[in-house]
Amino acid sequence: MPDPQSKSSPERARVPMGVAAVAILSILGAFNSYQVSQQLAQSGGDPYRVSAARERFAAAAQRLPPGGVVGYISDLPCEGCTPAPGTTGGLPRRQGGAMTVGAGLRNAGNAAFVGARYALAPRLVAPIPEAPTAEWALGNFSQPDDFAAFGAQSGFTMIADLGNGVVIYRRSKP
Amino acid sequence: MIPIILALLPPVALGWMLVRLLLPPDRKGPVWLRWIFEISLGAGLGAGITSCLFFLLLAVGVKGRVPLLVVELGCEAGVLGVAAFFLKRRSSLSDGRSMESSAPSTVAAVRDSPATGVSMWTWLLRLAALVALVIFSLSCAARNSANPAGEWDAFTIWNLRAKFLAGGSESWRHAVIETSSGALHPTYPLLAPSFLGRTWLVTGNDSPEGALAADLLFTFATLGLLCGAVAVAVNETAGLLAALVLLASDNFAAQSVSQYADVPLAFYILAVTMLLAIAFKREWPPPVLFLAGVFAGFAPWTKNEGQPFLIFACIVAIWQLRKRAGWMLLGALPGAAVTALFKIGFARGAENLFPPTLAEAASKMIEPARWTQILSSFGGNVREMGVPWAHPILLLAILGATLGFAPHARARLWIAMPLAGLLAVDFAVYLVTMSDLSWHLATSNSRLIMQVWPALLFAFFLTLRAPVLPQPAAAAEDKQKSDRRHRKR
Repeated sequence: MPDPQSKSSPERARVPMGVAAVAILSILGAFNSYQVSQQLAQSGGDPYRVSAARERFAAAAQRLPPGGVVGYISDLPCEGCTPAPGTTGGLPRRQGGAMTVGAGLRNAGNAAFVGARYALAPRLVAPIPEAPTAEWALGNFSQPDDFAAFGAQSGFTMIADLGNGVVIYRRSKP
Repeated sequence: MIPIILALLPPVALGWMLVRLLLPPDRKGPVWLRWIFEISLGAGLGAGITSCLFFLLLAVGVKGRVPLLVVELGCEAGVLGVAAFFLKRRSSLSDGRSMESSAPSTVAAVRDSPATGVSMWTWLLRLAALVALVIFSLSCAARNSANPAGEWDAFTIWNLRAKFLAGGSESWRHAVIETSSGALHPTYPLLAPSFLGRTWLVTGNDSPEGALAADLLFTFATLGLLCGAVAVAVNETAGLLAALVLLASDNFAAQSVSQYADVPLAFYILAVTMLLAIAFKREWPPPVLFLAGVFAGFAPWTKNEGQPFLIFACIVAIWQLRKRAGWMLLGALPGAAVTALFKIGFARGAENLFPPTLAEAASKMIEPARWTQILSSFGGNVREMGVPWAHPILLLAILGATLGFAPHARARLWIAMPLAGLLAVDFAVYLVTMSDLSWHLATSNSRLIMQVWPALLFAFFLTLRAPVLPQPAAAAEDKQKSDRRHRKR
């Protein structure tokens, strides 16, 4: 079989031509990928507000014990907060390589819960029925309300209203 | 950012020292490429070792930054001592002998030797790779601004578990035990969460920048390893071309800052593949086989897909090496043992991925619609790896047409067998999955292809003829002299 790299000039020119073509197309391909990434960034970053949750719950993170289980109280329904084992419950699922913003989100309560859970980890944030022995609880509210009454329903006393719908509760003494 | 870099230094240094110790130096090609190759390989090795150490310390009840750093730095001191001893011994065994053993033995090696000089074409190719790298980095930055905390699985699985692990004795078990609101998939392997947890513990802050840095470490190590490994196995031009094709692959760019465990797994699969190829070329030196085994052992510690890969890699090693495969199996032991310890001793939870009965599995497997749906998904995801006019497969086709395939290309195909085996297992899992097939394919198929993509690129470049770019007249003269010297020898 003839060696395409050790023959006549046109054949020898094939290698640099091929290499140049691959190099140029690769750069253009990488640039196209960059444009797709930019479109993603421009379409609105942090669709689940996870980074925003980190800032929002920063004060609560300072006041809650560093570990253990923390109860979760919210005015937002959270159907996916207690998924059955091996499922994603009501939590949104990814479509293809990118997240579907909003479409897969069953309700804002799920996103609020996921954000709070991630922001307060390594504490294990769990809805009150799943955290019967939790001494502390986090309130995560979407609008002004009677936060103390929300806590009292679950047997908790409001300790601090940190603003922006973030409340800290402690289990009421019998 | 400086504390994060300082926190990542010990693993990278540990891995790099081990690579220097176990992998005989190759004097082929430019020095900077050899450094990229060794440091990239060392970064993944160090990340794997420190993730195992961190998990084992947690498992025996040792917590805190100081004990962790004492253990890590102790390991480094030990490796440094052994390395110093062997390097001294190696250099005292006369430079001449080592030069002879590492002297370029193939035409490709002679072509790339420093005596041949660097042509303008090579400089242009280097420039092209640099431009593509800058664009890729900008793409990473844009994707990170779209999802600063990573994508969905990052903050619900991988990084959430890392936070639990970094939390110490009170919370680390949340990462491995199924609770209604704890980490999803507590039986998923722990390399990525453990490495990130360790990094967060060392920095004292669970910052998103730390998670991004740990993720990017693997992304750029994969890129550097592919470029360096192909340069070592073929030549610099091929190495740069391999890097360019990977930089143009959309599926790699999409996962670059997702903060999942797929890029780390892609790194370990590539490392095993290229170390086996290097071992083959150097007539199976035990240290290289041992190192290949270590990386193979980290694959199941990274993701469940790593389990079949480890099995296939070991089968191929036994087939090719017979008794010498023992070195590779020995190397795989630590990673496999830590994975087994985690799975059997600590992880609690059910994945419900497989049918409960064989009959149910068989009924799913004989449904033609499932076969066509899976095939079409694989096809679609391969198609989506790039725009048609710069698709990575098109780029490879251009290279295949212009360079041609090496005469012994078929004899090297065994390198890709573990990759083919892994893809076959992925296909079989889709066939029997209990999850909704459309959802399962949509959420994972592109990532599974990406896991093997860098290693497939490496295997492809291994089968090509070494690309030789035109050289300046003086360099060509040097090359002729070098060729003559080599022939006389």
